[in-house]
Amino acid sequence: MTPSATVEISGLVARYGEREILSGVDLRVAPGELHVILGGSGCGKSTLLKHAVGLLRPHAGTVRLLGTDITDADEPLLEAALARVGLLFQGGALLNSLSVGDNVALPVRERFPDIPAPVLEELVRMKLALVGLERAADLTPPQLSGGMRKRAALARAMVLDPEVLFCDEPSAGLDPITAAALDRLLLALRDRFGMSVVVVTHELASIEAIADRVTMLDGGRVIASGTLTEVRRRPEPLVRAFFDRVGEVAYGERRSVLDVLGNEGQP
Amino acid sequence: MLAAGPRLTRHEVPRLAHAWGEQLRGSGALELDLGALVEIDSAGVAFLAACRRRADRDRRALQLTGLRPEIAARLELFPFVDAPPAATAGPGWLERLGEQVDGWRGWLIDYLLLCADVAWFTVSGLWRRRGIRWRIVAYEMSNMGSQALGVVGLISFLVGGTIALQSAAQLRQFGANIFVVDLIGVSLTRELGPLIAAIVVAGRSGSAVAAELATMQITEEVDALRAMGLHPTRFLVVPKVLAITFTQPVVTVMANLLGLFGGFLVAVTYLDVGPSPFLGRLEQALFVRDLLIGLFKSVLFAQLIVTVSALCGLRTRGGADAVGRSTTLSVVASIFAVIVADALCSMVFYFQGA
Repeated sequence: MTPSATVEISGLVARYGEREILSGVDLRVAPGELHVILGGSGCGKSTLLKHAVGLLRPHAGTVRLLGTDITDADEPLLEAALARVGLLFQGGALLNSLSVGDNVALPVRERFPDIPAPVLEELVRMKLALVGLERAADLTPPQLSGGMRKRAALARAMVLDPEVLFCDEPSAGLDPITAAALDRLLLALRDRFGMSVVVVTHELASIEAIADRVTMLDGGRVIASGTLTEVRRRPEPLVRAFFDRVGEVAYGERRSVLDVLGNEGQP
Repeated sequence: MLAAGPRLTRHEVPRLAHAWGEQLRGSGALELDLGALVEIDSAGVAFLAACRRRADRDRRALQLTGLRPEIAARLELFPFVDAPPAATAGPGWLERLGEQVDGWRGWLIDYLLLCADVAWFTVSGLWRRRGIRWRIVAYEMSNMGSQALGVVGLISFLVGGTIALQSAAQLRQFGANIFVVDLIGVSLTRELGPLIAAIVVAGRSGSAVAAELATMQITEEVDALRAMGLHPTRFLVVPKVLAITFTQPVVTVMANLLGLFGGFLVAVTYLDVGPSPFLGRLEQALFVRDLLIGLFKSVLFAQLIVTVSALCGLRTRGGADAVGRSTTLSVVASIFAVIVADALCSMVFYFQGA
């Protein structure tokens, strides 16, 4: 039975020691939806993502992933749920000691050791071709550029045909052309494979290009949620500041050196 | 004709590959009937691609029949990628040997340049304001010296006792128990004291130096120093070389004393050599020259350990695994360098009659 939501989080409270990172966060991702979690640095986006895939256990609240309650799930149950999930880490997290091809093949080799080698080779070639890296199978991760490394990591995340793909800051640190190519790739995964995609980012251009729905966080709370158009119309100053790129509202007044020194010597 | 069942996923592929193996290896046109197929995943698509590649290689015609539209649409999603060209033959043994020798030459040149930089920045730093970071030197002295005293002392104590015990059996036969003092005294001060201290420091401090510099190299901290106009050797390596130059003789003297104490305990309790005869004989057996040779070696070994480890760290390229490789290499290379230097010193001092 297909679940009504691929990810369903309600009342999530997360703490690091005494510090509360998330306070009663709700999130719902529909099947085949590209959902963007956005917000400023340190607002709890990555922490929310790690809770969504069971890498962190919540202090309170519930997390359902593909219909399975993973809030307090034991290892076998969590492993079974994670087998249907792909995760793209911020830095790619490829294993430097393995070639790109072996990195992509790793989840299949470990989980399905009976798959014959020629089939696995085809599978790796296919997945690398999907991300435009069919000629990079024999290279090692340090030989790749930042964008190539992320695409290779995406190929690895997709190798077991996940039903939902989580991406932590996929376009961070990439040039606009590479970032746009990665965005197109995520859209293609949604459109061609019907995959749900959850993206954590604060790159405005990327959000505008890909988001079906967005959830905006600030200080560990959801301050806006809905389609991009709905959220853009919200009156909250922080939401307006985020989309209008007005730094002063979000981060307070700052005086520049010129303000302090005056404009002496200026023509 | 081969017929697939309703599912062709990663769970069915191994069984199907086994069942179809014979026919796939045969000859003549091959037909795969996929009429019953209702579910396929990317492993299933890869299996069909592998069948096609096999057929192409054997120059057989392959036909997929009975494809439902949704399955055909699924197959369309995945690109069939041409196999990469076969790898050309690698370099021959002579070429590989040449590359290896060239690699060693690069290491040697870099090492000599590093040593020259260390010597230059140390000497010139003495005359320049802020030429040497003395606060860091003091921190490194605590790190490499005082914190190593415990383990070096314990090992030396045990080695001194062990040498005394091992030699006792032989010396007793000739009634020459007292000569155990000569054996322990000379071997510890000239050879074993500096060597034990160096090997422990190579494992403990040399690896730490290599790991620290390797991490700084891969996180671009070394490049950042260069960009700020700070020479990494002056900023990072010179304080460590100075620190170990000051501390290693002290660590070695401590190793000598505790090794002698270990031998003394065994000699007094097991070999019936009294404390006074032991100390009297030690005074006769040991010369200032032996102590100075030991101290000279300790300084030489210390500088070898830090410079070799620093070079391993600074030549690191790649990611996290490269840090591990550099650390391991630094320990192996610095212990090797210490033992080679010890052998050379022994030869030189022997032929000079020292």
